Amino acid sequence: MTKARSRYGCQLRTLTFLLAFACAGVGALAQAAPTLAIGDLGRGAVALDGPWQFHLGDNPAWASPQIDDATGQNGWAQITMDKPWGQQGYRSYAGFAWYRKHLSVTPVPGTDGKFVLQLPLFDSIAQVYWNGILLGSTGKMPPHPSWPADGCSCTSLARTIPLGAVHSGVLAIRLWMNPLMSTDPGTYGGFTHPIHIGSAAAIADREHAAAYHFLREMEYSYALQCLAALVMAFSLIGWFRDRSQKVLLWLAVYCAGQVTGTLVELLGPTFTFGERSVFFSVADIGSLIAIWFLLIYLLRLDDMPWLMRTARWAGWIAILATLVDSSFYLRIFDLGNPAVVQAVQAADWVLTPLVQLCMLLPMLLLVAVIRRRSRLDAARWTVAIFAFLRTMIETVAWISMLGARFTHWTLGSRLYTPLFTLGGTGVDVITLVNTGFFISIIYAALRYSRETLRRQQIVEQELKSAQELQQVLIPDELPSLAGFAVTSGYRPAQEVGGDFFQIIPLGEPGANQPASALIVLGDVSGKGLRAAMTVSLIVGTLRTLAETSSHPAEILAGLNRRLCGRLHGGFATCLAVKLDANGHCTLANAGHPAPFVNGEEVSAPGALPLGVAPGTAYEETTLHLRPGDHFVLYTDGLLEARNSAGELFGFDRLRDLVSARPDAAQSIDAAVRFGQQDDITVLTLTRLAVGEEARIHVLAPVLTPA
Amino acid sequence: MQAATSVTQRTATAASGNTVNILAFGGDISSASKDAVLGAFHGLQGAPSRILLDFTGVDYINSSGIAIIIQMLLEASKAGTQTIGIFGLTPHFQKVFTMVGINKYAALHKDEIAALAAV
Repeated sequence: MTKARSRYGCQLRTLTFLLAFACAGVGALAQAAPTLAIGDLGRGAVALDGPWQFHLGDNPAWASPQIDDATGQNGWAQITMDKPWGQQGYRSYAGFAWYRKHLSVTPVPGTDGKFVLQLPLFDSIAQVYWNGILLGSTGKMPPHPSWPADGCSCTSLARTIPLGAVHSGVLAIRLWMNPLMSTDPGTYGGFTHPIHIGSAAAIADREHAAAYHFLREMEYSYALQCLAALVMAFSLIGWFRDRSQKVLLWLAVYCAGQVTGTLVELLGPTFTFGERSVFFSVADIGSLIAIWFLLIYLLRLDDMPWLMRTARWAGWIAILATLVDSSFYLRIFDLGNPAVVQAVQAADWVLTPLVQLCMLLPMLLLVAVIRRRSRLDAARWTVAIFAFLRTMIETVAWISMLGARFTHWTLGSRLYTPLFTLGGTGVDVITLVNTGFFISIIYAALRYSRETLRRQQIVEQELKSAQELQQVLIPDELPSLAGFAVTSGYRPAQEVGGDFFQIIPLGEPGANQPASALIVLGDVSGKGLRAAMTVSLIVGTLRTLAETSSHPAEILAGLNRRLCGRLHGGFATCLAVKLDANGHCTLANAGHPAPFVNGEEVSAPGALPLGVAPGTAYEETTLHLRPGDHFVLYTDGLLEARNSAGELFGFDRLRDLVSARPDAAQSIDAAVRFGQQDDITVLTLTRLAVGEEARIHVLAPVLTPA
Repeated sequence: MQAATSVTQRTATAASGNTVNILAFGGDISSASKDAVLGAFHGLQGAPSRILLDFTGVDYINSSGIAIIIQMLLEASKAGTQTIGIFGLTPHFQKVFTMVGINKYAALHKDEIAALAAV
């Protein structure tokens, strides 16, 4: 029994020894959190570098100095603050995490012992605790987070938090990093630079130094943006002076997108980080869309409707997708809810590739240029080459970054790594290509504007010639008509219109006043130079025909035969009237609105307009105008004036108008007030009583549109 | 600002029992409508020879639009195998169509019922 007790006693001692050994071993594995002792703090700032206790997840108790945060105990580990947790064994983690550091601070004698913490810029939201007491935060924690950059005018500046008088204790920092999006590589999260502690003056010095460093880094970018602002101003002025210069408009939009970033920076405190993200994203995408249209006009692709339609659709898709995608940073989503986070991530995975797909549009434009074998000058080819390079590099960068946490591709981030430093600014390959593209596009746009201006001068000269031609064809002096008071007026809708009228005396040669006259009024379909040239053809033919015939129907048939096949699918309506001094009137109509006598429409049979069918026959109608009768001939521009509601002037209003026996100018003014759409010509003839003197009033052709 | 031209095609049975193709136009008819209008008409070749043109949804027809309709009617007249009727015109455009002699190539009816009763 004793022997047995002795054996049991020996075994118990062995077990006790093993237990003691095991406990000692565990104690050695659970390394106590180190304390950073900082002496004589006060005259400068000290980096809180070295190892920090780190724990994923969230627990309010971790703010307390009382907990056991020894490494290896209760899930606590150690990491440093010089690189994100994604590079220290916690790849692709997003959400809450805690940093803790035990400090022992001894202030310099003679100072107040009050210190300030300086947190470096980082993309997470932080709350800072000292011995369990919340001292301050950067941003606002979920469910509706706001980011540290909210209310900050300069995103590169750090944030400071007053620490007060501290001696020894635990500095605990609670962090939240937003859910990973499609281009997050998974190597981010948490701090990338150490926190600093120091007196308020020392921290202020560091802030000033950081601001100076930031401005030095931004010098190149600000210089480019100043240039963009100048180009935008000149482009807008150029476009306002000549709205047809679409290149200038899109150049201004492109530059506006470049400048918006700086403007939003300057207005920083007005906007939250989320709002600024939306502005930045929309400005970026606006700039991108402006590039598409700039390329379309510069590469002379604007005559391809399908391409214009594609660009418009791609533009709207890109804008909408970007708006939805960037709205994630607005405080509208409950990011504390996993279902909402999953939905946001899924939307991002759909929308980001969609925008990337739209970004490939310049490639389509270049294919179109090559397929058309367009002859482009060196400036345009330079733009095309830079557009190609820019699209390729950005696409490669984005595709590489898309899902980088699964592929581990680093090409995307390497493309954004500076190749060299220029005056304190790191210049990467994308910045280089963008700068080249910007300069080439300004040069090409300037050349385009000069070319357009030169072409416009040629067209203006041609138009002037056409106007001079028209002034010869539309009489500004009318031959007097025995027995009639005549007024006439003409107002084209464009610089050169398609209306015409002629009064051709049919009297005996040598007589003072003709016994009768042929009046021809008409309207060529279409407007502009082509219509004016058709008018010149009609008037020349008419004057030739009038030498051999005075019968309106014959004259119309002759005109029709000569015009068929020469109006390129168009036609001309025409009313021919033979008017005798005794009031006898014969008229024939080729699809023209019937004239009015004393407010009543003359019943004239309808017929096809001139130039449509070669064999068309025209009927004649006769009527007799008595003294005082008011005879009105007009073109359909009067009838089809349209007001802003889309209503036509129409036959009823016209009947009311002519019933009041207006002269030509009054009739035209009424239609112009209503809403002129087409050329308007009006001719009024009032039969005079015997003994009354013939009067003529001609409203000179107004060759400038109303 | 001109509204785009729309053309839809449907069939109906006339009072005579014959099948009638109806081309219903919408929006504005102008020079830009040429492909839409003539394309729809050419698409009916080989179809029943009775065609009705429905202008109920048309807001405005300018002179170039009228030229297109005349061209269509002349083509049908030249072929000699198609009978065309028109309905749904506003009083204004009924008058304009009469003025330009379209009524000599296609009967103008007040509405679809009247048009189907006539063809």
